[in-house]
Amino acid sequence: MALLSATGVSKYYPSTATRANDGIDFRVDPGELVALVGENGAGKSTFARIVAGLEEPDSGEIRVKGTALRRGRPGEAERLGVGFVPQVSSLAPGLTVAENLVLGREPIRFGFLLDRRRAEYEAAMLAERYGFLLDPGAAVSSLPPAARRSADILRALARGADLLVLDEPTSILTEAEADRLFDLLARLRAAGKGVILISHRIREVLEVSDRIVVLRKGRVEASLRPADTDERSLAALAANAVPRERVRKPRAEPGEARLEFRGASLGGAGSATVREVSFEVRSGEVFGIAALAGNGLDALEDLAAAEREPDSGVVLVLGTRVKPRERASLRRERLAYLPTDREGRALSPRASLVDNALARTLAGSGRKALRGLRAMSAAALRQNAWFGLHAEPSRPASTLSGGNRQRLVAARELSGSPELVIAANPSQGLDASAQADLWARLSELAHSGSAVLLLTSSAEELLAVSTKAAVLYRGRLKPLAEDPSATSVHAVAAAMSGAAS
Amino acid sequence: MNIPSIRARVSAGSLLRAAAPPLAAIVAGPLVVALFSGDPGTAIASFAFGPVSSAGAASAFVEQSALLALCALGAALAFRSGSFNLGGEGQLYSGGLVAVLAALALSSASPAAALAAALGFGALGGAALALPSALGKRFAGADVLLSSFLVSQAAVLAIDWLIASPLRDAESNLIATKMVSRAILPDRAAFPAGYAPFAALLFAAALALFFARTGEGRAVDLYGGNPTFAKSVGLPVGKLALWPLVGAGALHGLAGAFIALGPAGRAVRGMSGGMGWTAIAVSLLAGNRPLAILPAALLLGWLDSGARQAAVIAGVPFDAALLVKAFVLLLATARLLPPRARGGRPA
Repeated sequence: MALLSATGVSKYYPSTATRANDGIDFRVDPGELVALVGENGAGKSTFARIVAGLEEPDSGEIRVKGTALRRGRPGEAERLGVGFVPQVSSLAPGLTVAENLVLGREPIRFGFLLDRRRAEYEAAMLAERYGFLLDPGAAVSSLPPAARRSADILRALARGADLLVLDEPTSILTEAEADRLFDLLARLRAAGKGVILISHRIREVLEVSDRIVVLRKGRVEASLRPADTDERSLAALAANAVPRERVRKPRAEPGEARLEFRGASLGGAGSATVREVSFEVRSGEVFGIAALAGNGLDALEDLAAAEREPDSGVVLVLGTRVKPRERASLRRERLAYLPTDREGRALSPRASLVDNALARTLAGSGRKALRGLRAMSAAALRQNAWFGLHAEPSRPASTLSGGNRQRLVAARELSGSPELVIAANPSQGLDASAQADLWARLSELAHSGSAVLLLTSSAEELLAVSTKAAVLYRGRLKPLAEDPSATSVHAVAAAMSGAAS
Repeated sequence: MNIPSIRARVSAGSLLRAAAPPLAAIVAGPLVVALFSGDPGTAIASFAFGPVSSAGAASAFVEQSALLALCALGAALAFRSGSFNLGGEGQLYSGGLVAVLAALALSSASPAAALAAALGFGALGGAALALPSALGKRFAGADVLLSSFLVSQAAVLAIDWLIASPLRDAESNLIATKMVSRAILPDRAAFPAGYAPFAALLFAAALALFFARTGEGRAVDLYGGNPTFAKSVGLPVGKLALWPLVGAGALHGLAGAFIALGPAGRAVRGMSGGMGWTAIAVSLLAGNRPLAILPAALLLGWLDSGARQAAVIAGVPFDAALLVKAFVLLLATARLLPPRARGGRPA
């Protein structure tokens, strides 16, 4: 019997006049991993939410292990064994990992007190069983994105899921973390569990899936075996476009230093720190730094974007030691910043798409102008359209999919000619075509004189764009000796995990 | 390139959600009133038509609704900037007292100048009470919900005492200050509902334009939605933490000034009468949209006014109207659920 069978699933959103799912037939058998691919807005997340019972289809039927999901019962899919891990973490940030795992079925002492120790023990056992490195007592808000994603998956497993629905689980994971996740999925599949994997990473989809379903505009465009396709043709099918060749590299002659780290350190004990880091990013170059989670990339991002000051050493952003409260004037015109924490630092979710697109203009002189808002809005929307984002401008940003939110942020930050660009995991959530556009834009900016600092957890991204590259391991910077274009992904991945170069 | 126009799509679902609270009020109001009365027919009639049963009642209803709208505009300004201002009651009360003191002090000035100055001081009185919360938020990250409530409660007690003791008019039977010069009060023959309706219309239009057409208005919305992002992108978060909340206080203070300089012509103890709280309901009901605040204020003004009429004419306890208000508020706040919980979709 199929773990999941969906027949004729359709979903129409009148508020945005969008047919998100249009007669989708879909099936997952026990032990099978089915990848769901397609461009941003193809309806993948909507379908995942319908399977998880979080949305109701207008028509069609979902059966989990032969039992049809009934309408108006959002918890039923979970009870039948569907574990959904959304694109944006759904954990309660104020609670610990353990408290999140036992949420709703807490171990109790004396009839009413939460047995915290037992909860942490259960969480630790579960983490060990599935090979996760997580501190059960850590507050979720303190976890880096990758650890938060692991905790999300662990929670689904804690609830006895037989079918895992993973919405872009690897978008913020490093190659090593993603490999660990796929090892785990392989074990789960061997135990008869099924997996729906939504991903934009074509290569990983080809490597790990048993079957690949391509969605386009809410319809099933193709259903293939990995053996019957290759990376290039699948990417073309998924993104509805032929992916571009490798990104054009900027000129080799860099100009003045726009960002300088001189022996900068941040943080106390522990691994999430940077220690005596020195480097500079010059006009005309893309300096890429790659790191696995927990090696200080977040701290480096904070320093480079002048969100925090170093404990010791010096960080010069555009020639000055910027205090966090002074950085606003730089952000308005000269410093573009795509943060890893897109939800927290890059968007105002309730505000409209157009207002979010306008934010930097409003931070500058645009806020004072009583006229011209319409023209400014049109210009901002042109940037969005240029970045492939076509959505109703008055929609709240919170209603956009993860990929479209990233397009919105990229369009806002990478328009104009900023002197310095800090791009942290910039292609997370983007489909192959948008990712290629983004990489091309970063290279174009460097070519026209911007200095670009690329911080990434993806060796592939590092090598695709950087003119100069390094890895950050345990808070220390290790330059990559070779020209990035001549370095292999495997060599970078090895350096990221601390192997001697 | 074809740029889509900037307008909100209106779906049947969103219309239904918006219409649910007023429909509930229209249905539940008369039912509750009938339940508490020995004479349901009279009770329902006085509740439903009392507010417009006479010219006097209609004027009072319009004036009360306008005052409510002014406070709600203040509440909306604060809410949209991310500050949950619970101090409206005290800000209104403070504005009323300061306006009366200013009018008394300026008794020798021309009536028009004295009135303008008194209204201005009233607004300042409300703003001054919001300032500590705004400064706390700006410089110490203090929670406005708590600080505005505490400051307001303390101010209400202090103003109660001021009106009852040092500022009390010994010649009056009311617990109230001295009366201001009649010359500065509205000519009720020409303006039966006073000046408050004009102010409410003016400020509703101004705020609607502010949010829709100005960069500063968009900045307030962006900051209100995510202060961390606003800071990161370079918006002037210091100012945005401060002025909308102070502006909210000023609008409440102005409403207080209109109350004190209304039919009573003096600051009476307890004159705020819970309007600061009802204004929160009005603002939520209107989705914090300035123009929608006008009909929302009329609706809740009607509930108050109808309940008062039903109390006088049919002996229905005034508090019964609270049940209806609570019901309306419940439906209005249900709309605050995140969009996904209400079936929004990711694109």
